[in-house]
Amino acid sequence: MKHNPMPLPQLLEAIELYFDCEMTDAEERQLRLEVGATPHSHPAIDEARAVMGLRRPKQLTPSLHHSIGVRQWMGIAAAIAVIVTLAVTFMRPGHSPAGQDLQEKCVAYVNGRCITDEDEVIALMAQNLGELQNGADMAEQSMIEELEYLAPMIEKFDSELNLNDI
Amino acid sequence: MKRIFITMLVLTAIVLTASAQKGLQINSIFGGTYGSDPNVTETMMSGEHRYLTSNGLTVMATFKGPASTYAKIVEPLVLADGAHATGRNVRYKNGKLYFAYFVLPSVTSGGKKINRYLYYLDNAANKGSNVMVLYFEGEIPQNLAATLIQSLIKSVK
Repeated sequence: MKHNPMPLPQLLEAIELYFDCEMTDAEERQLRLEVGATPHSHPAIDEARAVMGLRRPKQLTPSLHHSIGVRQWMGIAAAIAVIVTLAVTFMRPGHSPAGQDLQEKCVAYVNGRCITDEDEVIALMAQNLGELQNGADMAEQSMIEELEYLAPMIEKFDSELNLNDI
Repeated sequence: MKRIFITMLVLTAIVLTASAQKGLQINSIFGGTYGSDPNVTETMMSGEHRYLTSNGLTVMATFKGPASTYAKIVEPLVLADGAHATGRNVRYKNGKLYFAYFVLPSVTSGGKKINRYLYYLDNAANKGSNVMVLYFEGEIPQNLAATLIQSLIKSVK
């Protein structure tokens, strides 16, 4: 036998009686069937469904869609992390100017030319080292001169200082 | 979702930062970067060369160029690498970095501990005209590194 859905005004009236607790158990069971099967849409019907624990079938779809989005985001984040790690490994500056693999190198650039003759490279290197050593010696000498200037003043300060006065 | 994504980004940033500590900024001035400049002299040796191995070295590189052009390029790189130094001797003159000697953090390569050292000199602060950089690394200990230059010069003469 075909079930005819309750008209909307009558259904809303019954829902109001339900919330006022003015229904018998049998009437509540009947109302539950009506609320679950009604084709009508109304906020009072939605509220009755929520109270009765009835779910609208189409409400399941958004949360399922939501869980698929989480997995996709995690996959994208993991892929980005792997790509960045690989890029860092292969593109980061080496710990040495000679490069990551420290291959045999003997090269010099002077006067705009590239030289690979080992004796010439060593000679140029020694020349640069000589200039650097001269500069380092002068830096050390200036520090010694400053200390020699300070030492007498420190001695004078120490001799005049009476710890008992502090 | 957001927490997981942010956590992975933070972990990636930590990895990037840690990795960057080992690389040297001064690498960018070597390898012929300024080799076409006729006023620049750059030398680089690495590997099993007798000149290096006899002094406990595996790599040595020098750079010399006019201070008027290269001091502003080289000095920040040297100071950036020197910021992580375990030992240092730094001198300023007339408001500019004049001399620096840095003992850089050692690294491990092929199961061996490699010590790294960096010299910087701006001769323009002392009536000169060039800025110079010397980098060398190897198993050479710190107490011998300070006198290495003299022995290298003598071994050539």
